[in-house]
Amino acid sequence: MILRRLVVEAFGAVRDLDLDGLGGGLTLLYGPNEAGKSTLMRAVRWLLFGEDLAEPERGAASVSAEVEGPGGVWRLARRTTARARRGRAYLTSPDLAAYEGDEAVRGRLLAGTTWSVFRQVFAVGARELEDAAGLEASEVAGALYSAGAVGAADLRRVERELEEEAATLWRPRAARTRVNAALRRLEEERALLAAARRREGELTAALRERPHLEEQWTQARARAERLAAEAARWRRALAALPYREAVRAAEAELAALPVGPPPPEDALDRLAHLEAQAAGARQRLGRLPPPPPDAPPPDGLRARAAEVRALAEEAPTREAEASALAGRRQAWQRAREEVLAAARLARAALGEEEGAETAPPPLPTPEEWARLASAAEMALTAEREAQAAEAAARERAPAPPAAGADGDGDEADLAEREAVLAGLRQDVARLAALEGAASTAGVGAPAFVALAGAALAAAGAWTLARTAPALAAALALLALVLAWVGGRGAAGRGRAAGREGEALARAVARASTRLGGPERPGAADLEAMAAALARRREALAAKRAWERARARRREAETALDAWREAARTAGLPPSLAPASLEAARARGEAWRAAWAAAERERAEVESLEGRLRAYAERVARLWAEAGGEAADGGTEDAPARARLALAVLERAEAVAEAQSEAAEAERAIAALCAAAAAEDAEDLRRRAAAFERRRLAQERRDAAAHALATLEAGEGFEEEARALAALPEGEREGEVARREAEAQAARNEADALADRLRRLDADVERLGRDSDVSVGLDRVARAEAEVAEGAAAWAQAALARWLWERAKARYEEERQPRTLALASDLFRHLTAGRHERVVRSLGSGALAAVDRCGVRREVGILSQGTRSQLYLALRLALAADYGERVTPLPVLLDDVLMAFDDRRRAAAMRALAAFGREGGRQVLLFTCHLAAVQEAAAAGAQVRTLAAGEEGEGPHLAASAPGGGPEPA
Amino acid sequence: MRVFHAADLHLDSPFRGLAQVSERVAARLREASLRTLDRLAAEARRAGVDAVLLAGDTHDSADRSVRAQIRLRDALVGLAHDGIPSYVVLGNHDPADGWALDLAQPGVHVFPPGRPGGCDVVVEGRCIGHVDGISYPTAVVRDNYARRLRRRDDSPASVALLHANVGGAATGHADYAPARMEDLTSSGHDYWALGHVHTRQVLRRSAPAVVYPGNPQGRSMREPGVRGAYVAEVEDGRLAELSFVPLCDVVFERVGVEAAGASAGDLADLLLSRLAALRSEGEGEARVVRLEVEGEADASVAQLLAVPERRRDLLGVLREEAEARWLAGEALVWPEGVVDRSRRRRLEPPPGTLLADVLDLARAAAAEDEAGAELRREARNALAPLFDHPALRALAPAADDAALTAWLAAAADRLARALGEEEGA
Repeated sequence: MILRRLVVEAFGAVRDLDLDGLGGGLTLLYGPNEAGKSTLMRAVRWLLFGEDLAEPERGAASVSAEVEGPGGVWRLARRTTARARRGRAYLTSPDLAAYEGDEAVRGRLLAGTTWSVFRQVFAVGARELEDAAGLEASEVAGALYSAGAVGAADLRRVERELEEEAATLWRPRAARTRVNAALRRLEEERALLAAARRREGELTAALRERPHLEEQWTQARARAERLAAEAARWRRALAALPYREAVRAAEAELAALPVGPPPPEDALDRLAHLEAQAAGARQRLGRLPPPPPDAPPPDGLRARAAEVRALAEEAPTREAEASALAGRRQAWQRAREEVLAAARLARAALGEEEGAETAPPPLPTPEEWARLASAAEMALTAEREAQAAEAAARERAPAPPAAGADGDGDEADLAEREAVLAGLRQDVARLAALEGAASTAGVGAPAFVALAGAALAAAGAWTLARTAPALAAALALLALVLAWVGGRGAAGRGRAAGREGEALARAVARASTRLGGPERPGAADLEAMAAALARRREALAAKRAWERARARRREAETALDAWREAARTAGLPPSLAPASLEAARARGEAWRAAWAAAERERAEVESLEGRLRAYAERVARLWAEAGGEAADGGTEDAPARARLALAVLERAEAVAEAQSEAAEAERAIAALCAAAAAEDAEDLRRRAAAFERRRLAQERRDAAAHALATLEAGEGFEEEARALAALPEGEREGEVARREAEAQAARNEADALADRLRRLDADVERLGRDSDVSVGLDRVARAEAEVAEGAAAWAQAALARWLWERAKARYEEERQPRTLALASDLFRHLTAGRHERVVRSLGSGALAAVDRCGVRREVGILSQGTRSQLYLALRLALAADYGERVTPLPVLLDDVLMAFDDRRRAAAMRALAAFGREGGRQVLLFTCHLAAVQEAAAAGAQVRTLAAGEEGEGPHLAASAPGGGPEPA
Repeated sequence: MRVFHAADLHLDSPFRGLAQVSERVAARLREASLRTLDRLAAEARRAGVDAVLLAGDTHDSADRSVRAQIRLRDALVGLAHDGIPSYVVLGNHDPADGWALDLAQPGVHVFPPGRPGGCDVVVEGRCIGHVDGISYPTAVVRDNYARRLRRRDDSPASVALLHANVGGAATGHADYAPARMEDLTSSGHDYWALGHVHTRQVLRRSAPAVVYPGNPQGRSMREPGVRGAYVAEVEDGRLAELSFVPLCDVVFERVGVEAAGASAGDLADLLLSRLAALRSEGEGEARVVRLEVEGEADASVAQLLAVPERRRDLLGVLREEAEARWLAGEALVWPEGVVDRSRRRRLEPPPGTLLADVLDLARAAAAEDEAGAELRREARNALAPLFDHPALRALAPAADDAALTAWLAAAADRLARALGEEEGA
């Protein structure tokens, strides 16, 4: 592949650079520092692989090229896109087919060359060359393989990965690898399985033994049943011993007892009952009290028993009534006294005279009471109003004024005079003002003082007019004097007031005269006129008040007359005051109530007395009829006598009853004895006792015989019974218990066997569902699969390592020697024949240089220049090898000749030119050394110059024709 | 006489080669052989057979599963209770001297070890046939038992029941009780009910019929497909009917997954959708599947599958989904593994490069020629530590030529990936 044209639209600082006319062989691209040489090399790397974008170039980039490749000229462009900083590659084939993407570029143009190969072999800067020079020998060896496909770092990584993976999977004596862990788990699972197998093995053995176990159980069960039956028989025989004894004893007793007919049923009970009955009756007779001495004979009372009982029954009631009678009488007396008191109060209220206890007169009906109350209310209201009017009038005047007295004037006249006075006051004030105005300056102090004093005196006289008339009069006189004095002064000055004043003075004079004052009234005159008018006003008011009082009084009298008429109509005394109506009504009603209560009490007392008297009479009659001594028939002891009669009656009846009962019992006893063929009660008892003993003995014998039969239950135990009977009594229980213990042990044995069978069956049942062995087998199988999987993975990893080592070995054998031979040839040219060969130690893989004297020097001890030449030779050899085997690619070298001396640089230039001429190779050498330009030109290389642009511009190509170049300085 | 002929039940024998199975799924799979037994009993009842014949290896004595024996005994007793007698011979996995319960019960006939035994099959008081058989006294029987089973009666149908390898060691099966076909044809029996070979095959259909029913439940990927037993009817000395009855509870299957054009990034989705399709297929039976990626896939697919840890991660995702779906009520389709059968779609590396050498070597090692054999021998030496290890020797997968070639191809793929062929590129 040959780069024909490179167009950098934008890549870092480089802008709009068009490097056309490039061709095969060596091309020197000269440019001073910062001309963009290194950037240009990175632009080529980026264009081809999308890699190696340095920080300043991270913006929008666009680089394109025309390259001579398979079949002709290809066009390749790469532009950054919004999503991919490595940009998107666009490839157009010679036949104009379009492709996109790195894969297309790699596959169609670069023959599968990887980025790492290109970077390490084909596009090398001074730094990479130096870095390579600093590598350790083994890594240098790695770099040799990179000629095949990969870089040294990749080689190390692959080897490390393979080693790590194999080590992670399995190491024979490690603990934590996957396979080791799986093996350990497998061992654990196997151990668990073995344990489960042991358990289930035991169970299987037991299952095999099951028929035998079942047979054992059957036999044990049969033996247990037999022994249990025997023990039960022995137990029954032991239990039967007392019953046998009881039967024997009962039969002996029966044989000894006499045989006779049975006494009648319950004969002894009945006998005892009858004897108790007779004894009880006799005891009751003995306990009865003696009869009372003064009572009537019992027989007389028994003949009248019903009446006696009725009277005695009534006695408590009568006694209560007798004791209540006195209270009743007292209540009646109190009621009578209350009637008297009520009558007295009522009569007083009604205005009647005192009288004896009597029934109350008829009282008004409720309607009449209402009417009366209304009339009384009207009379009272009228009276109150009359009294109020009179009191009001009396306040104005102590007594009614006589006709035509002061104040008896015309209301209209009085009002007119008051109006005149008011006008007069105004006029006087006006007149004074006019006069004041006429002689204000001339008002002398004395006149002013006089008028003021007059005014003060007048005021004092008015104030004191009522309380101190004399002082008031004096003050009025003083006021007049002072007014006159002042008035003189004022009049004197008023003359100067003009005509208006005069007219006003006349009007004042008229008015004052009308009111009885002087022509020219002063303030005191005015006040006197006003006082006179006030007195007339007061007198008029008093007159009017007394007129109203008289009218009210007349109305009150009319109402009182109406009340009196109503009272009379209602039957009340006319003298009854209206205010007393309610009291009269209340007391009248009380009287009537008291009378009614007294009447009720009287009736009650009379009723009680009647009943008691009747009762006493009945008792007395009974007493007499029963043959008792005569009694006075008083009412108070009648109940006691009724009771006494009853007591006598009851005693007589009790005696008769007890006597009858005793006799009856005696008769029954005799009959009972006769029925039992006994001579008497004692004989009857003897016979009955003998019979009872026989009965009991028979019962005992029967019960024992029944118990025996139950114990035997159809199965005899005569033998056991005999054996037990032969034993001392204290040993019998022990013998039976021993046999029972033996039976229990046999039963336990059978039960234990049954339990084993049950458990076995349960285990079998459980195992049928789930089994530890089954689970364990599965777990072991899975663990084995895990181990196998891990082992297979390890096998693959091991085979990958084997494959790797094998391929590496083949590469070393077949590829590397050729590369080293080529490198040696180049190294000789680069060192101008100073060195002969590049060699590589087979053991350590370290590189070394051999000079023309055959002296071998390890790369580490070479001078920097020689070292650079060795690595440059190696790279060129690898590139040549790659070009032959795979595809030729342009070699880009950036300032790799820095460490070369002039001679070797010239030699290197020649060597590079010679290298470029072979096999369609292309070498682009970037340099900043002007001397190199001439050397390159001399070697027949094409020279292009890169000039640094102006500030703000990118680098650009200076005008330089292919083959030409700047003159060396 | 109508018989239900089954063999090699290997009850409660665990599935082999299943790693990374969750406990829940494992518990389900563990029941497979016993559920197969339940189906066997149910199908025998349904088919209305006169007898059930079990031709050996009903369980693995070495596994010592009491559960298997109890379940077998219960199943056969249940059949006997329903009027279907069972005739059982013991094979190399459950020989008479093995660790076993006594299977014999009323209606369950176990033939004696090492010597021929015979039983009439009686239905409603009438003998409808005769069964002869020999059980294995020990696990290893090298005698030709078939020769000892001669017909000795004139019953309407004569059946020989035997666990044996017919045809010699060339069949690929352990050569126990080795017999030749002539031994069988000259025996006089009408039907040879055989066991031992796990793949069902009818060696002869007449005079006499010779049948291997195979094992009714596969136990690993090496026993794939639907398995079961045969219902055979022998009338007048000839085979009137022979029908296969599927019984297996879990089917092992290899399932191809077309991955043409797919890259590593697509693989998980591709496999998940294939598993989903498998779940919806069939009748809800449980399946253990090995997914075989086929077609011209991107090199990244092979590279992903070439790294065991990455393959394991991928399987983890598939298994998680499979279990979740199963727990949600769908059919259980358990991914046993994912293998790469794709044709690589890759840019060949430049010749003479290290990667090209790697790929060349892998190809050369797969070749059938002498150089290939030499390379494989070298490769086997690289695996020596594994196969010399006392514990791993028995467990590691066999490094036969096929396995070795596959491993080398995978190794080459992963080296290609490591050496710069980017995934998805």
